[in-house]
Amino acid sequence: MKKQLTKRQVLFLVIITTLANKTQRLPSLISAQLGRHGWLVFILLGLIDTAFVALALWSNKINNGKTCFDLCKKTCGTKVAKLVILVLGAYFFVKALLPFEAVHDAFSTVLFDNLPWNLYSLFFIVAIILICIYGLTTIGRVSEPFVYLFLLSFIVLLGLGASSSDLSNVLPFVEFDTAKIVDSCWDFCLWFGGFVIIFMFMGRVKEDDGKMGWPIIVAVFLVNLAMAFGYVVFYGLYENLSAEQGNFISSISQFALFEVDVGRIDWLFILFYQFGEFICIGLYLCLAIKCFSDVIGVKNRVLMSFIVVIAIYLLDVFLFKTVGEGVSEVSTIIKYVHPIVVLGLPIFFIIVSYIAKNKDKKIVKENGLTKYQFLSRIKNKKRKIEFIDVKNDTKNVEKSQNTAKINKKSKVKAKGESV
Amino acid sequence: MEVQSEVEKKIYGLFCENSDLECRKILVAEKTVYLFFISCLVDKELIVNGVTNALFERQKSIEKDIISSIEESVVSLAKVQKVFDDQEITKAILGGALLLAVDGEKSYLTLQANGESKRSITEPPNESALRGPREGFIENIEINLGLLRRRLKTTTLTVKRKEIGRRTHTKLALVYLCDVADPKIVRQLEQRLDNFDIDGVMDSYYIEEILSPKGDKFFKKIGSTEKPDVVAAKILEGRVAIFVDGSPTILTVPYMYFEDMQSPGDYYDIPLRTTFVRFLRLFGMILSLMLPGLYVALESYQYRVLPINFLINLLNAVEGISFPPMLEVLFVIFLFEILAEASVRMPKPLGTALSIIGAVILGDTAVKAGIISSPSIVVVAISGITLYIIPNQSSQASLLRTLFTIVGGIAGFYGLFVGFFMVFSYLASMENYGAPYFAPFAPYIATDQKDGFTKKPIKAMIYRPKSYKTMNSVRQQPFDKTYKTKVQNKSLVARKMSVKQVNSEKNKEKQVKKIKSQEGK
Repeated sequence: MKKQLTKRQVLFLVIITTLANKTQRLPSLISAQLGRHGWLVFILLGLIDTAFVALALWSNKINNGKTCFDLCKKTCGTKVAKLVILVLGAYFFVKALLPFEAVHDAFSTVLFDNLPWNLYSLFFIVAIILICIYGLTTIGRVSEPFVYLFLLSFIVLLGLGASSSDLSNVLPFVEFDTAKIVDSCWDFCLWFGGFVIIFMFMGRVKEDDGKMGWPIIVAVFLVNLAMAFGYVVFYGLYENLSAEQGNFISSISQFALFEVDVGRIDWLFILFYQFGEFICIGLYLCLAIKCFSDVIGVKNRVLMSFIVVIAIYLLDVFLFKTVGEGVSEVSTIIKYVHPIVVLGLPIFFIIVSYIAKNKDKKIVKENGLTKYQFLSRIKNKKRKIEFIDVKNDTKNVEKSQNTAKINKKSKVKAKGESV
Repeated sequence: MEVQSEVEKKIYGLFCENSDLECRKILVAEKTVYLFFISCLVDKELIVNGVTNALFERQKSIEKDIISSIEESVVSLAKVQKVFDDQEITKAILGGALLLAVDGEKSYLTLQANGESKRSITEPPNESALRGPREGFIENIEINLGLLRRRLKTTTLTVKRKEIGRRTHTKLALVYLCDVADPKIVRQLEQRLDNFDIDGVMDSYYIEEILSPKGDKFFKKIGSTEKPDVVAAKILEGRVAIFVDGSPTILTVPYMYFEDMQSPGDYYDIPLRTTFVRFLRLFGMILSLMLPGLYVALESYQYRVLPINFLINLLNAVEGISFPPMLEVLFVIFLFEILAEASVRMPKPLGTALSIIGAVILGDTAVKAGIISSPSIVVVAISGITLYIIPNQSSQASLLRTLFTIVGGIAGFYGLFVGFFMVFSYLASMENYGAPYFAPFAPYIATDQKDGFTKKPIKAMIYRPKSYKTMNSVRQQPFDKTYKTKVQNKSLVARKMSVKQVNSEKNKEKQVKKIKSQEGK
């Protein structure tokens, strides 16, 4: 399997997917149910996310460089593997709706008074199709410079919001209804669990010796913590009206620059923040395309990209007529399946990785090899393949040179050149 | 011209009624020796001194095997070669050589006697630097290779010569360090050049197009420079240089987008200043691409971003302009492009006058007539100046600028940001001879950051770029380590010395005390 990403890129992609999902309508939806205690949802689900990220990374550590499809295929057979991958593909497709709606909201209602989104979004659709065709390597590369802009914008907007927010509005935070909070956690679980992308990165990361762990775990925890603080700022600004606010990221800095009279420069940061949303959509759809391709067996990435991205466009145009409502409708259905995927998959992959590891051990024992010998065998196999490739390359070069010479001569003869 | 002998018939028969081809006959050892040459390609003085005079003077020493004895004992020219083939004969004569033929002999002698006119070595106009070498390549491949050889005095510098062009037979050389450059890249280059069949090559740009990877022809994929020090530095980094006869522009492979952000002068200035200038270039580049589009988007859609006082001034300035902002800015851009194009082609004295008329009089009158507004002139002027902050990228940047202006006019910030994201993703997806086009930033390569936007001192650049493969990644011994060990050693020596001194002084004191006590007793 070609190594498409670096550990650094994986970290950035996890940060982007964890944060980009939550900054559209989630805070206002939570505040409608929980009011000032909404930040507890971020803390609770954030902690669950962090714990399960650790499990996902553990399964990646046990796994010996196989992709999740290969791993399932080896241990459970092709049919089960296809089923698991299909579930993952569907999950990524649904998840892509969140940032897609966020972009729709940001451009059609925040930055423009009345943008005919159905027509204008075609330009955006072309961009997403392109990035899906370019694939995971490009998404990883693009994430590297843009993650700084994305995080800087988030910090600046949060800072602007915090400067004009009354943080004491969330007090007293001790008197909360546990059952209500658990219910809310259940309702809004779709916005969490962005770490599932890690399973798709298995076997695709360069120099991954199972040491991807701590930075990602810490990053996921910090992002959720920052989001909890973001909620506090948001509620501090709008109190009971926060449920009626639409886009979190744009409304948080709405009044911050009012007194300074420098115009709405914060819009530029909202725009920079959108780069993160673009990457998030591209990543989810690219992974969904990979999953569907594995299941169907179609390897034409261009065709698959067209079908999947057009599908999300049609969903946005025909099913979700108003921004936010569609996602809320989807979340009411998905909330029953989502925990199975988010909480079940890490455990499933740990079991599967252990089974695969034991199988490898058996081979080692049966052949009387040491672990080192087994690994070197695999490496030698790879080297042999590379060597054959190089041989073929040189043969091809010689062949092409010969054919070029023959072609030249024949052309010269044909044209009656006096060479 | 009357053709008499067999030799003359044969040689003249190889060319189509060529009045340039001249023949000088000399009688040597009772046989006629023919000297064929194209008069405009050879140095006639060299022929007289090195060949004809020598033939007359040493007639007696010439034996029966005329060709061999001339080759060994008569001709004093540096490059003499025996040829048999018709193809070799034509190639030599067309290459500026003198062909020596003898009646009844099957072999011929080619004597190199080129007499081309050469331009003197001057500073290239596009790459002038405040400090550093001022030499520039010229149109002669041999002189260019000599300029490089003078800088890289190493036995591993490999020059692979080739010829391209069925009719032009243009000389071409692939130059690299065989112990540093990736042989795969060299092989790929050779393969592409061999597979290409073209009738003529006029400039290295032809080769640039041939060597560019398939598909995109918009963005530059091959590095180019006219400075020998830049080529030498790039070869030392493990790149392959391509010299083409007749062109002062040398190509380098692999090329990455950020190479053009690095100017030759950067390496002869203090690192902090270089870092500042590179950020300035990046900022200028973004400004040149986006400013007209941003202005159009702000004026048409997102005017709320601007402070209210500024917005009022802007609205006052724009008042009375009948065109929408996008058309207005596009008009100014086209005016600018026309002026730029005309000033390049025009004679220099006229060009200055034209630029004054174009920029001052035409611009001012257009504003007064209400065709365009003054802010749009300011915006396009800033963008036009910053366009040339990276001269090698200016042609692509000017097209992209127009594109972003149109997109900004149609869809405001939305169009601009999605468009920018598309272009960035496209560039990040490209790979050029195994090197990511946007390296070392996308993907991030930590060691290459020392010569990225920031520039570290030369002693910190221990490794060659890791964005592409090289055979030998270490450029220099870690200066600091040796420095540290030297310092440590020095300090150790100093300490030992000081201890010895102290001890000796103590001993002396003790001895003095002893002597004193003994004297006292």
